[in-house]
Amino acid sequence: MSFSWGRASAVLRKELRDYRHNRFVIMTMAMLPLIFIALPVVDIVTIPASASNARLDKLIGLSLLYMLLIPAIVPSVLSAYSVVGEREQGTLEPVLTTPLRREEFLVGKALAALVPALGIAYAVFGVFLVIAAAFAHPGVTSVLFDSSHLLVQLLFTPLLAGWSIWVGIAISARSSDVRVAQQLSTFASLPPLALVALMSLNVIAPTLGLALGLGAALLVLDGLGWRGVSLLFDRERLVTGHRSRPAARVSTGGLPRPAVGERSPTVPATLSLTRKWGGIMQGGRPFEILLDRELVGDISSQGTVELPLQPGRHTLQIGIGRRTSPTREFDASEGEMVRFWCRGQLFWPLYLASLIKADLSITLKRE
Amino acid sequence: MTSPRSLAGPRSAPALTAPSGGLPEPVLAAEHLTKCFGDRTAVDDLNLEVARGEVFGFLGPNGAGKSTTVRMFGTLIAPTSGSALVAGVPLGPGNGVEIRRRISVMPESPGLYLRLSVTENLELFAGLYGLRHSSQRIGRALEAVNMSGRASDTCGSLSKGLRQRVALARALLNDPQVVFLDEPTAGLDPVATREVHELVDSLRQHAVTVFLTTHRLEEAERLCDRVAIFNTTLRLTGTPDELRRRLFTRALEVRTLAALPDPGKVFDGLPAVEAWSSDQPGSYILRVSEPSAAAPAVARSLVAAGADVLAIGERQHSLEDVYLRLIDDDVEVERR
Repeated sequence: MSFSWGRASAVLRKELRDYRHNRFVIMTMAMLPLIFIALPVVDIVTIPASASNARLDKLIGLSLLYMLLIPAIVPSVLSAYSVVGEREQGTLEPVLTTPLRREEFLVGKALAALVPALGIAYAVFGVFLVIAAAFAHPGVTSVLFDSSHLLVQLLFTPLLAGWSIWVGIAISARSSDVRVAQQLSTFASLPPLALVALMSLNVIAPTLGLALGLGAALLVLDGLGWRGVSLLFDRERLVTGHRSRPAARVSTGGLPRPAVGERSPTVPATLSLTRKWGGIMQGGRPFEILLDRELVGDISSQGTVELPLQPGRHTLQIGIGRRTSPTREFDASEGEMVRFWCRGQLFWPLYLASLIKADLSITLKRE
Repeated sequence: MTSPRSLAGPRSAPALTAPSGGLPEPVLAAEHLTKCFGDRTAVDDLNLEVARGEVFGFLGPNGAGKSTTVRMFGTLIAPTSGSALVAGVPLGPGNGVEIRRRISVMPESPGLYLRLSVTENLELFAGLYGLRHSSQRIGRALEAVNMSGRASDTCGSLSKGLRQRVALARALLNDPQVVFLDEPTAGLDPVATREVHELVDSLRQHAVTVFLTTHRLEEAERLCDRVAIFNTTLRLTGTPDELRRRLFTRALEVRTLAALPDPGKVFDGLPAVEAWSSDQPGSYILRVSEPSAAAPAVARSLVAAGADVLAIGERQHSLEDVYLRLIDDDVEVERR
């Protein structure tokens, strides 16, 4: 069976109805652009006719940059709510038991964030142009209405919104809390804006070729975003909080749980593992310990576990669901105490990157 | 509530009576179905078959793995091992959409969009199932659960019981072959509960298979053709009568006005009575193989002994007795 636009549009219609019924969402979406438009309007209207070309370019560039913040930020808040919000209100499970495919669900959700974002972004830009045409100096408007500026706005508005939406949905699919998802996605939607900022501020000459090239790159990123988010969308994880794992990795309870301080008299080497406090979104849940790819126990925050092991080469990895540390190889000799420490990722950029590369989620280092 | 016949197209007549051995046309089956979360086994080696049109009760304590089982059948989570057949389709990664098209799941929590109206909620699901003439089907589903008059109300304004009814209407929308109902009467008043029971009866008459998880044992006894008692592993499956017979010996309860001076003299000589005991004066339990055959002989012997007989009847065990005996055994094992 193939992708059904009917099912995707059912999701879209539901979302649009939900916005209509939830005045708070509408108010937030309308208020944010008002803030973004205020400063550019004042700047554009108050630029004197005698301003130098460099100053004129800089002010117009900054003003247009403000306009591009709208498609970057408005949809990120909506898309960050899209999955984790459904999960929190208990509506995700009934929806997932219908024939809806994950790609259809995601496209419906993405369009539901894209439609209002584009509407608002273009409307605000239109209002900005109208005010500039009416009140700004003719010399300013002639620069503002330059085709390259208009092209950047028209082209990059949907592309930036697309990036922002996929990042937001990816974070939403992996988060357990709406607030964290919204903060993370707002932060993560900004990097592509840096390139556009360089163009708007004329650090990079905004030629048609460059704009089209960057636009194509963003388009590819948006397409990859959809595929990536589809891969991250794990029904089992969303419903149960556990990742669907191959049976080979699942311990059926046969392995003994290591006790702190336990040491076998016949095994001379010992692995000592300490878990430091902290880490983003790790909560109080224990990390699983995989020694030589076997689940041998877990470790709580600020805990220490000592494991007996045979002398020789071993591997160690720490994990919690999909999130893991890198696999560390080490040699243990007779009587040696091999010490490692671990901690949930502290750095947000690396945590974000762990959505793609899961073993960046937990830091594991030898002391 | 009205019959859901109007929701469904014409179906073949139900073929099932009491499928205790050799099921006709199983529409739902599990073979060695197992699900582990990390090192915890939630469902262990589940084997069962449910026939078309059967109402099958799935009973167990909290945390027994009932919801996990329903989620596996509903293709929400993948089994760790084993296989299953859902609505006649093998459970597998490529069949999820086809299975979900043929079933509906009503979770314990209604899971409605509270800011949307009843109709808007159902319109979403009609769209997700790709139903034609959705407004007519929605109207009929609401009629089936007596909610036509509240169609334009927002779900947030409805009581818990009414939300449950909307969730039930949603589960009927797609004319499912198998309906999974998780505690469908939780939070409902007695009248609404009776209406849900009538609706389940009606689904059975129209050859819809109902997989019912419930804590209400009297509900299971009243509605289900067969029940399974489950606590991570399947403990017992059968009709309520079969389970009673398997777990409890058949017995007569005898009550007399005064305690018998020598009960052994009255009961020991009767060939139909295998053993007897007395828990209090004037009350006797007689183990028998066939109560209806033994009762007249017991009555005659009591009269001959000059006893004033108040009552003689077969000792009744409810499904709750069966359930508690099995689950208490589990609790005892866990304590050890």
